[in-house]
Amino acid sequence: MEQTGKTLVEFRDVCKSFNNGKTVVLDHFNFDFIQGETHVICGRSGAGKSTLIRCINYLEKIDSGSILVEGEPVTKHTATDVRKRIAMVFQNFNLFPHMTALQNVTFGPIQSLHKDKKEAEESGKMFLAKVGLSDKINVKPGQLSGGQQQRVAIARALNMFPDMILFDEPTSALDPEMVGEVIDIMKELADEHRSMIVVTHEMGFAKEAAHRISFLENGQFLETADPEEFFNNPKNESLAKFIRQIQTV
Amino acid sequence: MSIGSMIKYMLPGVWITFELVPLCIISTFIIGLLLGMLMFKKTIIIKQTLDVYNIIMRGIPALVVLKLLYYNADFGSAFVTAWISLTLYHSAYVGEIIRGCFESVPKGQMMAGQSLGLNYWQIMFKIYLPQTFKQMIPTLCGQYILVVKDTTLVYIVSVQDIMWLGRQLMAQTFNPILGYLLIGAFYYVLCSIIEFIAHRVEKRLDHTNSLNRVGMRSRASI
Repeated sequence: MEQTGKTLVEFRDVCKSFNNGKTVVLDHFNFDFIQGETHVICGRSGAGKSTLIRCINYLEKIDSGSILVEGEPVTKHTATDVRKRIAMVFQNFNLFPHMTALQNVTFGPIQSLHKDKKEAEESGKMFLAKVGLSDKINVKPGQLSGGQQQRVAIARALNMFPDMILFDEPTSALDPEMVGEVIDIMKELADEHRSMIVVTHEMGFAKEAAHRISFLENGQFLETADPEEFFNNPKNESLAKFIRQIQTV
Repeated sequence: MSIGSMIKYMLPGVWITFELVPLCIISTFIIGLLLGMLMFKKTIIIKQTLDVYNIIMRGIPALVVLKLLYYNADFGSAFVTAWISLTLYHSAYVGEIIRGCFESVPKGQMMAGQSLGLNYWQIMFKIYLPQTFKQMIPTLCGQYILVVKDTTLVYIVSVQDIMWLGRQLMAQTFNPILGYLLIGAFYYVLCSIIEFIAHRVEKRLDHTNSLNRVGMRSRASI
């Protein structure tokens, strides 16, 4: 899927806060996410990165404004349809422990998209092979490593044949030696020009695979740029400080 | 009167109790499951309504529920009145047991189900219930033993169960000790059956899980 320049997700004057308005995470936020683009969102802990992407598929409810997916507003009534088109990969994998890897991957297409079991299993096996787990199809999550579980989670998202995939800190819960196997899969997906929004602290991935990177702070994207500009020539002072801090680590 | 004659006299009541107990178990599970799922949903109006129902049912004796329904509702027969009363009463407890089990499931499971486009009921039945059913069994078993024991109250609404016939017999034979021993023995057998079934179900679920752990599941599932 090539970058088309077509807007897939639009935020229009979105406000979101917690603790009765004391903690503002999105402040009259406006932005367009483009089809075929890998868009990385970074920022300090508690900036609202995860909240932002959860608002897209209505896992979080916004206070005001509107979010549009392919021109259609995301509301309580359209949330189920939006979720069938926008898949999500979570920090803590959230696989279903009572199901095998293949059952995890086929559950959504069968129950939600009403696909035939055989068809769902065929594509499910293909995506499990893509993430390097064709020998684990009958294994339950409890018998998989963290990296393997996250790869099953990615296969589960892919098997929904989504228009976009949201990644919510997909490597944060992994031991360092497992991060690479997940990042490699994500790089492959980025090379395929899949539409992805990735919340991550993995700046190496952002440098190599992102089309655009945004820095979220004080409820706004303070800067959005391609990786070259973002890391080598940050215009915003707070972003420059953030980059210095992460490069020191 | 011989013990054999006494048992023969009470047999019709045994069948009544044998009909009432499984009906109560099935209906309290169905209603309790629905209540548990509705309470877990935490929709304010529904939750507040069910909280009131729970507070009432868990705060008054089953005997009071039986009598209130007997005098204020017409369900066609004493048996049906008893069945509905015990169902209403014990469903509150079963609902709380089930809700409590659901609370132990990590919240990420709900988010994962929602992110796949599933509705609430699909998530409850396909994700939450399979994960929590095994852990519910011991507590539900305890609750169902209480259901069995509460069926001893139904004679007060004129259900001619084993307690009703037993009391008639005691009035005739002036032998309450033997009468209550026989009733007690019958209920002991009934409770033992329930415990045995619960134990077997738990063991079966354990066995299935251990087969999965060592990867011995049939490859026919591919």
